[in-house]
Amino acid sequence: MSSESVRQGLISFLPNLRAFAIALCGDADRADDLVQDTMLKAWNSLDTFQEGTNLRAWLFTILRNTYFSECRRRRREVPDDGGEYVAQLCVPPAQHGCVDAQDVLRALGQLTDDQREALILVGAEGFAYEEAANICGCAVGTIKSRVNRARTRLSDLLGSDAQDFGPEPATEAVLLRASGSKLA
Amino acid sequence: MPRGKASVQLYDTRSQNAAPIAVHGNNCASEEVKRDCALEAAEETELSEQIVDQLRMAYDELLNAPMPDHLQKLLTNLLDREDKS
Repeated sequence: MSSESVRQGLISFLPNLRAFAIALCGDADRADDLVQDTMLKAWNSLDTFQEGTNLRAWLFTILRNTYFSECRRRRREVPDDGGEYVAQLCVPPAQHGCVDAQDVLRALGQLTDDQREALILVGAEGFAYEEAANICGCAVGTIKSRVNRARTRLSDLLGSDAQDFGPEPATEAVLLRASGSKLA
Repeated sequence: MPRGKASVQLYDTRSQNAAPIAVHGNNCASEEVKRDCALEAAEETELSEQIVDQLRMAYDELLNAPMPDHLQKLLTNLLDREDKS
């Protein structure tokens, strides 16, 4: 019988698991299957989970292990064929102009699996390096190295667009005119 | 003014303090290189932090995306099954 805290944890971490799965595999349908498998495995293994320990990390470990097992089974890499990676994501269309979510997720798809998962766990989910290392089953130094390389690679991929932070030129012009009229 | 040959002292004219705030002497070239490297590192760090911010924003969109019904139902069914057992 699961405790109330575990039950609440399973409910509250579902969006995080799904976001991680989508960012990891780049395919919303595949991500949903991954999350479904993870929830079933977690549910069937609840007796192995120690109350009071990090439930979120435990769930993420199950998901990433499931993902890599599936990858080995499929024996192929994450596809990125002409935007197909992005086309299958559940991200609403972004406004024209700046670096948007689709650009970032497209760039994520061009990282290696281990770099992508490390960057998402530490950079996006906010896990500590030690937690991420436990999830990935590697040393802390390895995680730090992967995160640094991933960040550098992402910077290179988005570098030319990364300068365009903030409102697009048309909006910025309106804002400037508005601030100018207040000062006059 | 040739590098490493002359000494240039800068004073803060706004301050009452007569002591120079910066002295460029024989180490001018290496100090400039150090400064350039520091600036470059700071810019790279800033860009790297901006990239991580963009990653978080993109990830937040995934977090807030609508949850498919079948996943929500799966969890609800598992919890309900446990309640009934």
